[in-house]
Amino acid sequence: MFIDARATDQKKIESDICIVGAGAAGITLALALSGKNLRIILLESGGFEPEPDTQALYTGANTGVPYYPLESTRLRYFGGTTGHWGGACWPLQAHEFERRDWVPHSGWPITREDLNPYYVKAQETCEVGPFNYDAEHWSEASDQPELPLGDSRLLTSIYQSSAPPTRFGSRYREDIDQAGDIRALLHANVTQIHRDPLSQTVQHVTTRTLEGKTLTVNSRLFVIATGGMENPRLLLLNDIGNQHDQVGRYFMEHIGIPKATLLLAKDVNTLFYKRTSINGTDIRAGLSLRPEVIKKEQILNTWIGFQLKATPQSRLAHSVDTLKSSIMNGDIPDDFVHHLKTVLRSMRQIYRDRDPAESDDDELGGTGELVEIPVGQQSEQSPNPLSRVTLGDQLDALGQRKIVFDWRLTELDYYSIRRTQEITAAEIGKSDLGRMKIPNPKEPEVWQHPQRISELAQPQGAFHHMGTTRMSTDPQHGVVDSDCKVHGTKNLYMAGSSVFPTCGYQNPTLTIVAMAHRLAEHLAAQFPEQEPT
Amino acid sequence: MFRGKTNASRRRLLQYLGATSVLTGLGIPAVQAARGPELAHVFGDSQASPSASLRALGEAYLREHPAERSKHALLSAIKGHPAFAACRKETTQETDYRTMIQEDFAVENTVALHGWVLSRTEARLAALAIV
Ligand SMILES: Cc1cc2nc3c(=O)[nH]c(=O)nc-3n(C[C@H](O)[C@H](O)[C@H](O)COP(=O)(O)OP(=O)(O)OC[C@H]3O[C@@H](n4cnc5c(N)ncnc54)[C@H](O)[C@@H]3O)c2cc1C
Repeated sequence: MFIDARATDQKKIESDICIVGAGAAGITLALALSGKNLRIILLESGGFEPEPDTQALYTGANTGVPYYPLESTRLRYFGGTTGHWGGACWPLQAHEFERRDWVPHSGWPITREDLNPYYVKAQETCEVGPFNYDAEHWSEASDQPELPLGDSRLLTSIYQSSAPPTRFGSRYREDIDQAGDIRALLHANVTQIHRDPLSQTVQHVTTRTLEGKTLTVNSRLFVIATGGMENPRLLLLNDIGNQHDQVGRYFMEHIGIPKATLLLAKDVNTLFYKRTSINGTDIRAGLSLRPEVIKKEQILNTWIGFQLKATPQSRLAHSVDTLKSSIMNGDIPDDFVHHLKTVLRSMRQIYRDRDPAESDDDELGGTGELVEIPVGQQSEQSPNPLSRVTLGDQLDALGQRKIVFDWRLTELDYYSIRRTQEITAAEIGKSDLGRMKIPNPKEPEVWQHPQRISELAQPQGAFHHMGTTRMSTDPQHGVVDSDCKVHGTKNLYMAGSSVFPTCGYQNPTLTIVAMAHRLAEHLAAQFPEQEPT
Repeated sequence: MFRGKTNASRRRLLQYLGATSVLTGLGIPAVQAARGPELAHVFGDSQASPSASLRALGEAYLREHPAERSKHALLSAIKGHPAFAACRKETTQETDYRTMIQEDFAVENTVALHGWVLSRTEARLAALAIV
């Protein structure tokens, strides 16, 4: 059931589990807890559509490495930032959970194996294919070969795409509405978290509409799921979990420096490296370093993707697949017209390709015997306590202090990207597939100077906000424990990528959703007396 | 092939650089890409001939390694490659540089010229074209 906080006369609500934020994490959590005879409250700042005044609550200042305006990197309405996510899904790799001697502050208190069963559920929630990220499997299934890299330090790595990207707000709105045990309050901005210092228990939270209406929610358990920047903001505003000055630190993004170019022989088959639909699963392959190479080189993980133009065939397959599945599901995708046009255009192009006189020879963007391919990369950032979210002096429309965001990169971040490019270039040359052009070497020191970095290297973020309430068994080195419970509290939990101690290169949402499923199981176990309905 | 100092051997080098596909390695990216937008923008001339690209790469290599700016120095450096002897073809006395180039890449004996990561041997061969 949905309730608009602006319209209700209720002043106080009782619940068993109160979830703050209805994005990927909050919605997954609420639905996973449903049917267990619990009273669930989902508090959401926005309504069903973006509203400028609500979105403006996300503004803040950037003082570090130049970054996008903060309000443009996340969405503040029902469904959260999945309202414009790209849908790329992949799990973190087993070695990324481990402590790496050369990566300060690395190591998760949980393993990939712990998360595996929840990744399976997350695949379903994010509406992607089977939980199988084995490149060889998908290469065989697609009948397209992996690059013949031979005995190489590189391997092919794939991700799956939720296509079209699952918009959690529209996709799960009805499920939330129908669930008898979930009450979702819209336009309910949580501004205060009331914790009793003696019992270390959060007793209630206060919500406030932009019009000034307030409401109190009492609950046995609370979960903050407001995204990687807002999660630490709420804790800092309420001075919770920060006894060791850890909240807001270790902010991580995925770093891109889109400047490399690959020159490949035109007869090298790169079809598997385009985004392509295989038996209904949307796959894209790229390259990464083998874990043993990362260890030997003492660097961070990076994924290298080729920005190949889609062929008419792959575009057609993708659009036909999308249209087919939406017709079967009985709903019209957001981009229905786009897919329909693609089908018509691709058919025309494929038909024309049969006639060499009319064929589009430059489909791959090639010249002569070689194809020139822009190479993108998405790199892991190391956890750095100086890279952080703090509170500034400016206030938002609710009178709350806004974020000051200081994104900082280290020499290890820079060196890892550079080194991965060098290794990739050498391996491509060794295997005689082509040659690679990489940006000119820059002295690592420039990375200490934000203005110069933007000038010289122009690192870009990927809109992934991670690490700001990191998981650690030791309260001195983190904010939440291995169950995502805030240290120093008995009943407050965090959900989302703010709990990631390290971030790999993989887009975070599949892991966010997997962790939400895991957290749901843990929370439900706190109510042993409750029989499932 | 490069033992002789004649113009003919220089011509053969250029032919080799220009005529083979990328799968034979040497200098081809530079040669071919001069026709495409990428290196054209580096060299500032979209109509650049293959030899112009090669010259630019050779020049870049020599700028960074001035001690090798002579045919003698370059040839002895090439002959000093651990795989050189193994790359000589018995029948023709020619050298198959592919193996040397691949070995360079395998041990990262590479140079970055105008951003392109090339094997040191192929960079030296490009430099030979201009000394
Ligand atoms: C352009 C773009 C493309 C992306 N593409 C990808 C991709 O391809 N793959 C991928 O894995 N990830 C991608 N992401 C990131 C992805 O969107 C996020 O990882 C994901 O949405 C995070 O989920 P979340 O639930 O933690 O936070 P959000 O989805 O941001 O949800 C947080 C919710 O909390 C609410 N909220 C905030 N403050 C309060 C408050 N005080 N009180 C009540 N409610 C509050 C917000 O309104 C929002 O609904 C992309 C992001 C962007 C911007």
